[in-house]
Parts: sequence; structure tokens; C-alpha cells
Amino acid sequence: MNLNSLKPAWQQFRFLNSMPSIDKDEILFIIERAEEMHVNNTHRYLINTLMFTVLIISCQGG
Amino acid sequence: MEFQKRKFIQTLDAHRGIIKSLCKAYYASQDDQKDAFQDIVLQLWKSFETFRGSSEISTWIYSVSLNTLLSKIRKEKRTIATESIGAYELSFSTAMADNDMELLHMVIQSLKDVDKAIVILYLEGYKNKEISRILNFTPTNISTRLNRVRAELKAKFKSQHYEFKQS
Repeated sequence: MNLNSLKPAWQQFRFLNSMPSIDKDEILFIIERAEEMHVNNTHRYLINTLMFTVLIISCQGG
Repeated sequence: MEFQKRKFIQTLDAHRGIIKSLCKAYYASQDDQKDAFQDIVLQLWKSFETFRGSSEISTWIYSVSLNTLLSKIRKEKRTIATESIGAYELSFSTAMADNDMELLHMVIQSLKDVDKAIVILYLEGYKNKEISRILNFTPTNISTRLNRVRAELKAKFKSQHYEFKQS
């Protein structure tokens, strides 16, 4: 027996794991949540940049 | 966008066996497998638009999935001492129907993370050159690691019921 003899076992294992079909809602939830987080992060980044700019302008000594 | 999502889900569904098998090969608990599955799906989605079809879809899925898993494991090892796969029984219970499946279970359980990825790709029928491309190693490195794995397995399983010949 060698490593090659495990190839059918791997194929069988892979086949067994493909039995239940993928839950479409679960996949949509994963990718849409990531998109939402991306939008939120961009929004937060913009607000922080704006606040920082205002702060720098207002705190300039004169 | 909706069309892309539908296409992505169809692609994922057609290759779900690969992703789920990889999660089970690397993580023992169902929660960890679910986490890993989500990370892989996310990475696949991020690179789905840029996938130009220069390789087989299954190769792309193996590449993204294995690299996601290996980087996830590296991160986990850096932050906390993670649950070692060796401390658990791999989730092969439903599959352990015969000796070959049992042996596959033992072999995968005994391998280190990168070696596991190499052996899985080898079992999937990929050549050393393709494995090196998928995992970003040199072909020589893959060949050396595979030979070392074969020798280790031969030594490990010699004392047990299984005889492991080097090929």
C-alpha cells in the first residue's frame, strides 16, 4: 500500500461531505454581512477623517 | 450583482464537497468547521470577480480554501494556543466505513498543517508543479516535503497494522 492507495478514500470522503446541499441563505448572509461591514468601515473612516481634519484646523495655534 | 451572487452560490454548491472536506480535515469541532467554512466562503467571494478562469474552478477553490485555512491557523497559533487537531477525533465518523477510510483518517490526523495540504492535493491528483503553484512553494520544496511525509508515514505505520510503502 502507498499514498496513492488513499486516493479513492479521499474521493469517498469528499463525496460524503457533498451530501447535504449548501444553504443558499447562509452563503448570502456571509457575503452580505461582509459587504455591510465594508460599507460601515468606509463610513466610519470618512467620519473619523472629517473629525480629525476639523480638530486639526480648530486646534492650530495662532 | 445579484447575477454574480447566484453564479457564486451555484459554483460553491457544485464544489461544496471540497470546502467541507477541507474544513473537516483541519478542524475537529463543528463550531470551528463552521467558522472556517465562513472564512473560506468570504475569501472565495472576494476573489470570485477577479477569477478569470485561467485554472480549473476546483483548482481555484482548493487554492483559496487551503491558503485561507493555513493563514487562519497561523493567526490562531500567534494569538492563542489553539485546539490542536490531534487532541480531537477528526470528523470522519460517518465516513469511517472501511479500512481505507480509517487509514486516511489516521494519515491526515498525523500530518502537520502544510504537509496536510500537500497530501490532500496529492490525493486529489495534482502534480508537484501544480501543488507548488496552489500553495506558493517551489516544486522542489513540495517534492522534498512529500518524500519526507512518505518516509514519516512509513515509519509511523510500520509498527501498526498498516504497511506503508514509499512510492
